[in-house]
Amino acid sequence: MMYSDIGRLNCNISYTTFSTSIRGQGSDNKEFSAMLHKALEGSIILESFPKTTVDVFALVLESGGSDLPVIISCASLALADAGIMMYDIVSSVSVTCIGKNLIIDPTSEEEDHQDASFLISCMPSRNEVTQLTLTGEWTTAKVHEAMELCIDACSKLGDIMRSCLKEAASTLQ
Amino acid sequence: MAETATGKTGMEGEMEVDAYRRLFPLTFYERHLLDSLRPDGRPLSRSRHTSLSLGAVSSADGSALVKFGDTTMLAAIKLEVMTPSKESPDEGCLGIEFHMPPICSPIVRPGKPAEIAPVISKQLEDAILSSGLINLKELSLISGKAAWMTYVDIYCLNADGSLFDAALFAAVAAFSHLEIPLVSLSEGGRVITVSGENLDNTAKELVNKDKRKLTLHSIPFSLTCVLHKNYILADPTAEEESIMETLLTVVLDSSSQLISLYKPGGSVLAFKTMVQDCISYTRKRVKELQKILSEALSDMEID
Repeated sequence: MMYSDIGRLNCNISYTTFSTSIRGQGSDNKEFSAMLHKALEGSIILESFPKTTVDVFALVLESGGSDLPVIISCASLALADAGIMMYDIVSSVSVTCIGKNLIIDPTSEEEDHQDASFLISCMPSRNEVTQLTLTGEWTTAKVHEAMELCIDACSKLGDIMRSCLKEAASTLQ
Repeated sequence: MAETATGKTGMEGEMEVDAYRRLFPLTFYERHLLDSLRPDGRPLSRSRHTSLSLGAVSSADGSALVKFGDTTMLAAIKLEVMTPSKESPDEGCLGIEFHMPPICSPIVRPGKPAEIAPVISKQLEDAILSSGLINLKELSLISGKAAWMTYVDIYCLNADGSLFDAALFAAVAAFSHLEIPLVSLSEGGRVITVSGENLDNTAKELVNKDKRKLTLHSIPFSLTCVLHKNYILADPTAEEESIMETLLTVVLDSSSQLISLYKPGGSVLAFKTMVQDCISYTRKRVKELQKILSEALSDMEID
């Protein structure tokens, strides 16, 4: 492998055979792994660990909807716990649009009936978005509404994640 | 030889304990063994702290999370209706699989699976089938037409030694937690599962109303020991397994009958007394594990 001045991030997501209601359905995860990589990449100070690879492995024990945002937030917490230098933690939230309703943090059942979906990963204290995914049919007004909803939720989630990290650090001492 | 030994003791004074442990793991361990105490403070024959929680996965029909110290196993059972084979029309089927995903250990990576995983898979299957834990006839729904295909998947979440023991305990606990879903016959003669919500509005006859739990016959439990010189270390950690390579695993059932005994090579030859000691340690361990299992089950009933 070539010498590299910056660190490398490697992400892999796998599902357990019992995570979905029908056995062995959740194995398609190449796309999710790539999405996770892209969501986290921007938050890590890769210059702080030259010629080193950081592996992020996620194992979904039970899939109940909003898998990807949960994985992204969880992976970011794990990176922080591992002491990897980051600009900020990444919190991620998704919204599903059914008819005229916006549903935040959808369950699998809600995701099955969705008309459109919106996923955002951001660094709440820097107010920066690392990843934004839109699928389905959206009107501009709805996108704005979903965006505001998600950004707000991300900052709330970010606060909770931060306090979790603080708690873990204080029990260690 | 004497020179190197003194050389080591000379270095040892200046070296930090952690570094010494990494550089001379065997000497480090042997020093501890002289005092009959392991680096983690355990006497040689004591197992690590063991915990069990049932029903950890709600999407499965039965599940259990087991911890032996840092070794963590998650077992889940899922049942599917299948058509039994012609040779055994009134028997269900059992599929046991042991997985080691990349998160469990630094030596496992995607595309580089652990070599030990299929070995443990096979051992688990052998232990569970030969102990007679499950009567396959109980998995039959309608003779010749429908039976349960039982998938037992055990995931190692953290690999820190004694993987087989923890996996077997998780599988057994998941079986005792297993609740068979209700099924009914549809008009076309197909067997369909009935979920809790639409139970009231199905007037159809339920096939297995009275049979929601499997009767578990002789439950298998196991203990792995590491043999080194004349020492026997029960329930080894991954570090102990890698330094002292001779392992001996004993599987006993709840009435202390021997189900299997594995000694996959290794540099230490096991003498009769050593094997006997291992078996008597296992007997004690079986009692401990039985107590943990029955406590977890009675806690479930209270809830």
